[in-house]
Amino acid sequence: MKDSTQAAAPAVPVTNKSKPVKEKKVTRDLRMYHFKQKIPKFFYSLFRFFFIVCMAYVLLSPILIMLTRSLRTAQDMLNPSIVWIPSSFTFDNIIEAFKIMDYSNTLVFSGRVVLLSTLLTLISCSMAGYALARYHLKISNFCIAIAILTIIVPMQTYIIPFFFQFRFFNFLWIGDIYNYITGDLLSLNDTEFAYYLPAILGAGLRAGLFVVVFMQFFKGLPKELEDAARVDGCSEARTFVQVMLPNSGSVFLVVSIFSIVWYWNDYFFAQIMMKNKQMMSTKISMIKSLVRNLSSDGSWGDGFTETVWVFAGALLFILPPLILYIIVQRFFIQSIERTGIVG
Amino acid sequence: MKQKTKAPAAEAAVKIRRRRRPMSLERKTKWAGMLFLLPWIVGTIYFFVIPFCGSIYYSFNNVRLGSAGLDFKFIGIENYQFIFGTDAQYMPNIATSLKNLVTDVPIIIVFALFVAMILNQKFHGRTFARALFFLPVIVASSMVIKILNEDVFRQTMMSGGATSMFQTGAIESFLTEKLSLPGGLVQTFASVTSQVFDLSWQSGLQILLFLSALQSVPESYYEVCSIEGANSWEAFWKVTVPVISPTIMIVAVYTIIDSFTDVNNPVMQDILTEFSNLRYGVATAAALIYFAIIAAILGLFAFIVVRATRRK
Repeated sequence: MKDSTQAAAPAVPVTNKSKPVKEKKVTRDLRMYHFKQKIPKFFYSLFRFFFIVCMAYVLLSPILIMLTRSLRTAQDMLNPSIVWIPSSFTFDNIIEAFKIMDYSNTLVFSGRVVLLSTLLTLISCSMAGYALARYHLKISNFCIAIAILTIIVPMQTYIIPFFFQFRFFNFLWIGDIYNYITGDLLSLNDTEFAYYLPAILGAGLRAGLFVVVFMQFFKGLPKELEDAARVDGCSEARTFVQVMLPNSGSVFLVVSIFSIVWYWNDYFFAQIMMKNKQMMSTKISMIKSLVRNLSSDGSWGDGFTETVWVFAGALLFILPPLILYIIVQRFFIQSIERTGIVG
Repeated sequence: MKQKTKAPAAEAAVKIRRRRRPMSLERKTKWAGMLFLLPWIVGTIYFFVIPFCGSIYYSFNNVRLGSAGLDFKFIGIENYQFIFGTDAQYMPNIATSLKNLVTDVPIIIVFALFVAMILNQKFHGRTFARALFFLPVIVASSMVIKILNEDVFRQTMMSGGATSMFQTGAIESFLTEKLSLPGGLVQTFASVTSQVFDLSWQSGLQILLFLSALQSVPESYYEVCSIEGANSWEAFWKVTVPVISPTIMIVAVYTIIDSFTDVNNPVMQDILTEFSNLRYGVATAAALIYFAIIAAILGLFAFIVVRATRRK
């Protein structure tokens, strides 16, 4: 409606001084009408502006709090007059947190696990989604129902038998063979395989959701692409890799971002499957006790040093996904619009 | 299908020549489809179906970690009896989660829809605003939220204020004393505003889902509305809501599951504690009861939605 009034505005005859008085009055009324129309619009955009500014504060404040806390000295925490801007900037807290968390090693390990799991998830889920969208198999509907069920059933309900499947690993009798050769039980928890194996078999974190997203996307691609490839004598696998994949960059971007972020932020799975080798999320959950152990040695002991270090640790934790997001956000948002997650 | 429609003579000819000829296109594509799906099927059976059935079995047993595997001892419903009878924490925890669910889910849905409507309009700096509202999807890890909340809690303990990120004490007293609003209203307002941080950080993905749904509403529907003389409020209820109603359903389900599986949820903490105490039977029983409650709520929700849409 608003657009139509705007479009009508240029059609109004341009006022000239030589025109008769009657016509002038009409144009004045028209102008008045347009002006009245603009008032609510103006107030609305004002409201929108303030709403977004307020929400920007709410959404950014945790990151700002982390930043200001980790850049100040512990003495500044005692001073009630210092809220945002510290009296003196220092990078000591971040350096200390870096040391406490063993950051570079943890980052390399976590990053490797997260990226490889995401890659494997992408392969398995895109294949499954493609099959469910394009091949009319007898079991397709049943499989879609199961995929939706895996979204609804939380991992927490079956994590303990899942854990023991890795504690006493016997997938495809590999455990028996191992036992026969070495006489030991094969235990794969606390190894990276606890992440990779479910991921390549399409059972990683929230893989059911990704299967559905891929399925919706591939359903939307034109059937002609595939038929053309088939007529030209392309094999099924090659059709998928060389015809479908180049057209589905957006969905791959969206799914990989979500997968990376969810693997990175996940705490429950890491806590149970990787307790002794430390992922970044386990480290950040333990950072308080790590810091406390250090400060109980003597020299610090006060809670304020603890706080600034913990916040520096939290900042270091969110930094990698944040940088990733800043780099890809433009493509990410465009891709979401193109992918149409809901279908 | 194609083979069946062929004439019998042609079919016989195909049979004779089968050895030389490759598979028919229909069968070939079917095999290819199965091969594409195979890893997922294997993974789902091995890492979803078997553990899920296993957890039902575990919950009726006393599970101990032996030297050569797990020792099971059938004890019937003792684990369940322990949870409902002996464990004083479990039922109150469930009640708290349910209470949070009832208040949070509608607020999150309405808030997310509102923000998505705003972000769907054209204005300067829209890309920036969108990037901002999706930020929580990226950084809102439950561990980080926990750290923030604990710290704020400690600070306000010292100053004796409210235990929330944004303190509303001043506004509250202003509303009650200066404007003399009823106490209940002010309380509700205060509880919502004090949660504004939590809620806005939890609704990143929901905003995203709503936004992509809003963009799928055809522009011509709104044109019809404006020609028929409907204002934007009417257009919202008569066009937008019916078209995006499947998304509202998806968002509601997602929000319910998300709030249940949050690590900061007391029941989740309970399950983790039981797990680290090596009481696997009790932990699985607790998780199963919890899942049964989620399933019941989702079922009820789906039932209501189906009934409501059918009546229209």
